[in-house]
Amino acid sequence: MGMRLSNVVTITRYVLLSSRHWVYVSLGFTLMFPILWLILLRAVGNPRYMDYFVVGTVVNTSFLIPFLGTSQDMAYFKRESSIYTLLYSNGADHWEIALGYILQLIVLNTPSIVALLFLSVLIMGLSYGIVQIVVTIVTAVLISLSSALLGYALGISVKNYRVVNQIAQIIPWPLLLLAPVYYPITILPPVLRYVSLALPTTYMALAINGSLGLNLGDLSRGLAGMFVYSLASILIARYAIVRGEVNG
Amino acid sequence: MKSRDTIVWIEGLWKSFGSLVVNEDINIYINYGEVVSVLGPNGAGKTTLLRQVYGELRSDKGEIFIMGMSPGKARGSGVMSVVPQEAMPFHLLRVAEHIEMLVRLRGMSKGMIRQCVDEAIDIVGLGDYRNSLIYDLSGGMKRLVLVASAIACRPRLIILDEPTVGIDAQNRRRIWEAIRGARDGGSAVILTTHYLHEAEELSDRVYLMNRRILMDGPPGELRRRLPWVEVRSDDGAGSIRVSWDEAVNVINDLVRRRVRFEVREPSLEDVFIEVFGDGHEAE
Repeated sequence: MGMRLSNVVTITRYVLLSSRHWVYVSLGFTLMFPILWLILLRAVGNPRYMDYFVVGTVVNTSFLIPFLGTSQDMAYFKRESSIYTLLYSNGADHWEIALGYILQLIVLNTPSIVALLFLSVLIMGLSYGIVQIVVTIVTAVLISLSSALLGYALGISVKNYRVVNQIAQIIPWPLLLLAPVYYPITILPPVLRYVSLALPTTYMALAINGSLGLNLGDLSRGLAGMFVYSLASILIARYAIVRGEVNG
Repeated sequence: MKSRDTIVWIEGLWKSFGSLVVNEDINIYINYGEVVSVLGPNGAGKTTLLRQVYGELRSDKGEIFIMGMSPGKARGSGVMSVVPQEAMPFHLLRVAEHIEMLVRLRGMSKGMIRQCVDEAIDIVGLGDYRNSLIYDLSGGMKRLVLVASAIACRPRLIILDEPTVGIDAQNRRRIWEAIRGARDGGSAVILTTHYLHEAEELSDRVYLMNRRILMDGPPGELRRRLPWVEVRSDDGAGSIRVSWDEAVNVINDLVRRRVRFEVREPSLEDVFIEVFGDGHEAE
């Protein structure tokens, strides 16, 4: 059975409607905290790394919420509340549920990234052109998609909802701190450089760096890395779905 | 038996989890316009069976057809609606939105949705709560939302896995009326419940299972398989179970002695206890 766009849109629509009650925390996580973070970095950060602070904040915003939200909500929907089964048994397929949910996160998250990029020009004093901003927004959307797929793979693979809830909160920190997200890879100790090559956030930062600098080499290497992680996420999720159909 | 009116047929179905056999050679037929209850103790494999019917689990062996389609295809074509076991509705939606969402997933045409939603809300008696947040409703009303979502737009097959568990008598009656209405409208309903009185009230046929089907038939027919009646009297003898023939003599004696008494036929609960023993729960 192929994927039906109408089901994806239906799930996006109603999950969005259910998000209206979380407007304050959404604004906090997707806009207020990143802006505060940029202001702090402007005040206390090394001026040489201003570009990286913007890259880091955009990566953080486009990675963290989609990853955390998807993994925790999918695990909750599937293991704790049976909402997932309700949607599935009434006609939505696994990937329709996943994409429907992910699409609503992207709809909620993208305006924050747009605002963040324009505000970063004001706050950090950097001069990005409209082309750089548009390319960066598209890349940020792809980062959100890739991160949400990672989250879906985690949320649907682990049977214990509480374990997913905790892992999802722990994983982002090494991914954001050990990868060269807020600073160039060259200032990392050699051992950590190798570690960072295995982290998806390294490629996300590379892609944003390439977008803001209009550097096609960095952008393609970043997107290629994200593609590999997305493919791995899809394969893991697919395996978990089949395992679930057999083992319950 | 399978006939032209059969909507669901399950033949030779087996399902195991590791070495644990949960469903063993299950054969079930369900016709249009029929309420069929699947009854059994906890762990009897009822929910596992239903999960295969709506396509969430793959069977090890055997076949399931819904209107001639595989469960996956039937699910995708919108012919069935499901209230899964222990399901809770989407708390942060309003009542009408929740019903709308599931109706849309079942692929109903836009023109019909509003009418279907209003009709379903009226049937379960939630008219005053149409725009209420589900989060603010009582547990029983949340169950009504799920049932309304399942019956909206009259799907051909409605699967209800313990839809009335833990709710009060008034809301339970509303759910019963909704189930009867769906049946009268031509839908087939598969119901699991631990309330045997409920199964007796609603079902056209009953399957008793514990891993495999142990007995099936209309509730009246199953009750008649128990060859006794219970006579309760106020003469200190309490209640006794006697055959129909003996009952006549016992009753004549009670009448002659002017003792107050009542006669009770076997219920579905008696059949359940006869089949599964009284170590299992029945409510």
